[in-house]
Amino acid sequence: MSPIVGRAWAVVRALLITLAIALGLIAGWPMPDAAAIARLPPALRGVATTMPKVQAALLAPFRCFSDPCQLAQRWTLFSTTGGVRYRLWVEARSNRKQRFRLLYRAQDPEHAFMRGVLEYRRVRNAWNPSRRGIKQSYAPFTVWLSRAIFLQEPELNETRIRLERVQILEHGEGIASLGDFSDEIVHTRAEIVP
Amino acid sequence: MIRRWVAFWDQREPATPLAVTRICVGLVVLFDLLIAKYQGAVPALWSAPPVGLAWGASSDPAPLATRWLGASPHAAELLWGIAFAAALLMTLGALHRVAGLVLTVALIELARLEPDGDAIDQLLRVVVPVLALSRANARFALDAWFWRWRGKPPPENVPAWPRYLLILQLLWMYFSAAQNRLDPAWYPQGGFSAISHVLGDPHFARFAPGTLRRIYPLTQLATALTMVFEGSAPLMLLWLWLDPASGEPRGGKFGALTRALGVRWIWLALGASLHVGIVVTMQLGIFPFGMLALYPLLLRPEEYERVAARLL
Repeated sequence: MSPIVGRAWAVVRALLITLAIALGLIAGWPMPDAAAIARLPPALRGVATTMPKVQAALLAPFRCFSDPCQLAQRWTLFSTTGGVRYRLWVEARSNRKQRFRLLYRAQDPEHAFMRGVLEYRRVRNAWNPSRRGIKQSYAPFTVWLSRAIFLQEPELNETRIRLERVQILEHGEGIASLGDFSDEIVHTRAEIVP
Repeated sequence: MIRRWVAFWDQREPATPLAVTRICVGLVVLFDLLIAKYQGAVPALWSAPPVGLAWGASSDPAPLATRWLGASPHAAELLWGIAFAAALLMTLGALHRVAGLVLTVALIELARLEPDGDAIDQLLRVVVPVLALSRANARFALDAWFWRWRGKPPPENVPAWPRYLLILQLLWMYFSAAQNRLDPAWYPQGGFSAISHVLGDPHFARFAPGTLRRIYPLTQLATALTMVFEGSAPLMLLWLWLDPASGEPRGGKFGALTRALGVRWIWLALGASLHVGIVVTMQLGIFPFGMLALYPLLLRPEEYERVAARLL
């Protein structure tokens, strides 16, 4: 590379890096939620409500690159903890006259059917609810899991997959069941493995 | 000012930190892909429903992998194979740039098929392409060995900007995580109870919830230290500046104090302990390993040379 080209490239590279840093900062700039905005003085509320629009406008020309590459710079790691959490239950039975049999339950070594794959982080991401609730992958997960159960256990004909609601106790005391379940999905063999 | 900014990003240095990071990141990706294979999760994760969980296959526009290979279990195995081969080549430092770019595309495609990924997947989609663009293959690499064999040894010094950029990425990730902690449990008003809560979450706890109640005060201390560590991440740039490789005394009495106290090393040790603590007490997959894989970037090339000189 000739010295002139080398110098020009150094400038272009510095510009590209500056752009990348600026876009990263804009994309990662913390956006206050509705509750935080409500606590702000009235003069700042307008600014806070405009910020997401400004951010979206600044990032719009780069969305054609960042969206397909799934690039983001807001890192929400355990942003909420405690309160009501969930515990996955996987049950199955042969026919409707029988009670469901527990096959897998999170944190239950006695019921550990397919535990290895269910607890592999990528599979867990499919069924573990985020702070916004269950993910889009939850329904396909129940279909995939039911199919795997029906193929492995020919005597089973119906599955029930659901999330037990538990309360995280304070001072590290563990969890207490709230006695109810959410996001229950039942599948039958006829529906999944025709 | 602009000239100094351009000169800053044009600096060169020995490739050791980038090479070590390339190997560590490559190993983490390989390990994760191997677990997926060992658990028999490959067709499940990257085939379209009803056979698999890859609901992203039906998104509009469809992922390139779906358009080119389809979304069947065979296509999932093929995509996995491409990602694995690229990660292996990148770890070995063979065909580094091509391997890194193929791995980048593969990681993006895997994520498009299965969009509910973790933070570590998001981070790797940034780190791998930057490493691919670097000269991380100038040391500890088959490419470097091949060049030497051909009589054209790799340069002693390589562009330093990928290391600087990845350091900024790592520090921003920590700082952003601290900014987005809305839960009072991370703060004094919530009794610093956040880590105790996470250790009670049935989906993440390594031990049965309640097992670690005797060490509750320790979890409170860990919560406070996590917030201090993450919130102070941008200061690492200052600690690095105050402790230059040249040994030039910077920052007056304050700089001398931070060097004497080893503040940079304290921050690094805190981060490493945080991730080791996660490995021991939580089931977060490759997350802590992926983060630790970037720590070699925070050491200077001269520090590697000093360690090597002591060992050899």
